[in-house]
Amino acid sequence: MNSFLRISLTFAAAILTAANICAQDIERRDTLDTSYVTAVKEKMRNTTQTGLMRLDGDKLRSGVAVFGTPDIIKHLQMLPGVAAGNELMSGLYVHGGDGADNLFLLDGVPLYNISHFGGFFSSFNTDVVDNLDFYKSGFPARYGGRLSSVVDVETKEGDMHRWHGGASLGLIDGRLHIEGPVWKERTSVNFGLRRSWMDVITIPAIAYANRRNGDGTTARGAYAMWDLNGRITHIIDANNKLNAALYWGEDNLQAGIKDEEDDGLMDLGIRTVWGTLTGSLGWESKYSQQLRGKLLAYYTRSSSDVGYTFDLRFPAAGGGSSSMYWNDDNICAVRDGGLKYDLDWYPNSIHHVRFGAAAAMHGYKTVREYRQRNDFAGLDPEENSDEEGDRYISWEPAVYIEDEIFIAYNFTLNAGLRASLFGTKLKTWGSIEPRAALKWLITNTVCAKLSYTRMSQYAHLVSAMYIDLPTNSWMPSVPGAGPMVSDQVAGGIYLTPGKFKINIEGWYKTMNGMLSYNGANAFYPPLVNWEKSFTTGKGTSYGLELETTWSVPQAELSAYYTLSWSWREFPAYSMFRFPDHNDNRHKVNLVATWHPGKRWSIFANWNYHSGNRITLPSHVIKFEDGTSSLLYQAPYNAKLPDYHRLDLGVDYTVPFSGDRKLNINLSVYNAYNHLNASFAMLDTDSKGEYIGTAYGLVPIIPTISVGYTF
Amino acid sequence: MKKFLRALLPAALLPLAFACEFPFPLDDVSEAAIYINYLPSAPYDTPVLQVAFADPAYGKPSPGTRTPSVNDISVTLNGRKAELSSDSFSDGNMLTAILQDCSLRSGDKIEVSVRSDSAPTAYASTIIPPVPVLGSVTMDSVPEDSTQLRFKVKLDRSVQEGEFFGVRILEKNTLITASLMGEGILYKGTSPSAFPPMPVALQIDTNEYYTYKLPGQVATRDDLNSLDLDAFANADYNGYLTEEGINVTGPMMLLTHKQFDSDTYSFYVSRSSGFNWRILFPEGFEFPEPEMPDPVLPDEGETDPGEIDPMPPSVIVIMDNIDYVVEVYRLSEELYNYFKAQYLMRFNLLSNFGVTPPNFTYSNVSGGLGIVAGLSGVRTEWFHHPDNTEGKSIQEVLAELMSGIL
Repeated sequence: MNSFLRISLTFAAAILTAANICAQDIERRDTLDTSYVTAVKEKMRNTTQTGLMRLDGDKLRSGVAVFGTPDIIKHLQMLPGVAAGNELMSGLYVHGGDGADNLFLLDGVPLYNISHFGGFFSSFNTDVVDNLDFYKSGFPARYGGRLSSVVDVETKEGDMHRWHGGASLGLIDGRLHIEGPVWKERTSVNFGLRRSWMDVITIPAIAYANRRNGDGTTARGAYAMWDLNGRITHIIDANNKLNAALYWGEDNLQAGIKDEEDDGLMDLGIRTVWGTLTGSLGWESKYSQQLRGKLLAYYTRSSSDVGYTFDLRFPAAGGGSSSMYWNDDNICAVRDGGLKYDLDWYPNSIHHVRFGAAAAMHGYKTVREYRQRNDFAGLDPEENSDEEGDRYISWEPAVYIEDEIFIAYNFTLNAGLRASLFGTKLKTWGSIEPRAALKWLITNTVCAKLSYTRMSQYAHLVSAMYIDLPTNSWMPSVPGAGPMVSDQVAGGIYLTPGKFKINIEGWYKTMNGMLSYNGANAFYPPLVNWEKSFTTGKGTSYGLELETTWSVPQAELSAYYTLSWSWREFPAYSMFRFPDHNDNRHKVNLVATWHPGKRWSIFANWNYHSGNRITLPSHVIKFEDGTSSLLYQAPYNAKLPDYHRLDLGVDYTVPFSGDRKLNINLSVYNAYNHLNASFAMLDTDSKGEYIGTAYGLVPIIPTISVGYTF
Repeated sequence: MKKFLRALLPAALLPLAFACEFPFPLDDVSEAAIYINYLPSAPYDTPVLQVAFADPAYGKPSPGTRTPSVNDISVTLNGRKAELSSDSFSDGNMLTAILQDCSLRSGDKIEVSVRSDSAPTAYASTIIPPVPVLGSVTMDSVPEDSTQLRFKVKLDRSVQEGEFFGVRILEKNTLITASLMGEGILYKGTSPSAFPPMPVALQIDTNEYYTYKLPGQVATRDDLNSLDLDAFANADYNGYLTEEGINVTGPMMLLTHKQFDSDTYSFYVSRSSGFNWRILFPEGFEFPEPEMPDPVLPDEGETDPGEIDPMPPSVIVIMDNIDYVVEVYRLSEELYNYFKAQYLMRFNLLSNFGVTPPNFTYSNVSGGLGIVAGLSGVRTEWFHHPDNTEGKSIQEVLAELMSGIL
């Protein structure tokens, strides 16, 4: 046994002996090989942090599948400290954040757009997901660039021994997954493909309706989304491994109307394509027993193209025909090219040091391309084209170091520092971000943690709405809209009595330099000089989270409760602080899983939270002539009715020979059909008194999906 | 495309048609509060102070005192009590009053406090911002767009972040008209030489009309594309800076340092036609086709010739002289925010649907609601419309007209 393994075993044994609490995730194995020791250290290091939840792929793939597709983001929305925002959307408002301040990493590559279809589905295909680390506080120094959370998704390496996969068909999409060895025990692949199939129905349906209509007017419309995940792993030798990963997802929406008559034509159309492409190449090396490293080169692109066309042809007065045509493309794109080098160093049994450097070049573009052609009979054709917009190139180097220090018998400290720069041709900013997390193992079943983190964010989402639209664009910090910075203190008590796991965490977080759209156009934020339409402010959030889990092999019950406050201070909106849109005072999530037999699994989720905040007139001044004037005291002065919803799911598995099996999932979203208020407006009752009228949009949605695994 | 986007709006709101609506209680939204509206300005204006008892919009009205009285109001100017004029008046729950002998200057601090038995005491204060100092203001024609006039306002220094401004432009239309007495035959054309002999009886009148124009930007395709209405953010302001004491509500362009190019802000105004001959036609009159012979006769086949019967013009405009004054205001931050909120209330149609930042009336009144916010302003001399540069005096025009008509 070499010295590193000895040291590691000593370290692991000491921790295991001292406190199996907080190391509850440690898997007991009969053989303590090197990878196990590494795993032990990994688990221990992770559990020093507050606000961390690790979810494995199997858990993400099971449960209630809204529209027949398991969704990572909707899974995270159920966790304490997370507000979901608007119903059915992939909003993730963590500890009072604004939804555009979450760092999404797919195999280490940052993603800018994480949803399809305006936010209804997330971009993550659970078929290929291996595990997910979700940080709400206590961020390690190796993460940076966003204020509020880190969602670090790792895809599975393909099976090195045999080929297997699966296919499934849900209410709106179909999925295909396959993995296996290309070169046994040396090279493997893992691919997952999803595609919606709504257009298979809508295109012929619209064509049929057009034929029946028969008045020369035809409509067209189709929507499709797809994504492809791929990962190739090659083991060079015992100390070196290569990984190549790809994600490519797109949404495509086309709609239009065409009015064709004998002597003319009018065609108005919209074509929108948006999506994300990422590619990475990673090289993992073990330089020695004490030092490991990973070099990652990546490219990521998130783009959208919203195009309009207008085509008009008509007979000219003197004979012949004339035509007018214009085409307008609004293109938003952000492209990153980056290099990361992360090193793990175990100098002795006391320290586990992680350090590294990263450099990224960002390209931001919002451009409008305009083409026009007029061809009037008797006149020379006239053509115009133009291109206008903003383009930025920025660079962002960063270095970090963090040390997991086993201070004493029952204290562990993770101390780190991250430093970064962000420069454009306009200005350069810098940030020093201290990170610290302290864990105290009080007894075998009780531990306490405390953390402080500073995070900064240089990229801004230019969006006028709380939902994902292809018209949203990412832009760099510019003078007038500089970086955002958050400071967060979190602490908690963690208990594991018997079959229970109980976590109680609290946090206090401030956010500076937050942006809010302060313009009049909700659909299309500005393409140029975007910062002129935004106003800056601060945010404060604090609260308490309670997480309890009871688990036995056949069942698991989890209950999450969040008591939180989320405030905003935007001088342009109010001299006084006001609640955030997602200031949900109470949030309760009950999650139950039951496996009554080998073939059956039953799931139930109950979700409750205080209503989202809205702005309604609060006061009225009455005049002598019977008229009145409505006034607002503050933004977000009213609360929608409380939100609650029950989701149910049943998995039935039909086993065949070998590993082949058929899986049928029946899910019911909003099982008791409670229409939750999406928004509210002012109204008057029969007596002329003002009342609030809430509007609910999402009824019960039953879905079925069928999957076959081989 | 703007039209297309507008057409999309109903489509975006289509889910409303399928929405299920249900009432929900809002009793806890608010309690009764005092409303204050006071926009003191320097150096010319004496704005009114409005104070009201605001009931909760939902639920039962609050018992107790309703409309505040003058005795409930305390106004201090730089710490000294300011008297309210005795000729205040009430309308429903609102009291309107004017400060007595109150001449305001830059730097003055005004505090307003209103007490009530049935609502918390409301308090707000503001400081009159410094009067902007103009470096120069110029007006010229826009070569590439004959429908616009361009004004360039240059301050004495660069505008800093946190400074807020407003611009208004007042158009004075001096109209000298000749009213025709007696019968006549309508002839088209606006040139005096085209006029045939007409009745002699003329009455010459001179009138001045004042209109606040919108000092906006020329919409580029970028603006249309993004519907970047912020470039046109404006609010109605009812105050005056003119020596004539014209008190007309007019749009004020709202500006921050972001709209200034260092110390300069350029804006455009739709060009009114100045100095031309015009005939004011009777209401309902329709122009004949260009190829129609004079005098105007109804088209063949017209079923209702009465609508286009030849009618005598009621008035001939013999001189239409247009001048402009530019007013530049320095706004307190709270006033800028208040005006901006008013603007957004008008234009952000999707707000308050829970999917965009909210619409609301900005308030800086603690314990109540409303606005107490100061401003100061400066005005330029009159700019004469470029078309007036033909240099003809009224007498010359009149003589020319008479020679043509008589």
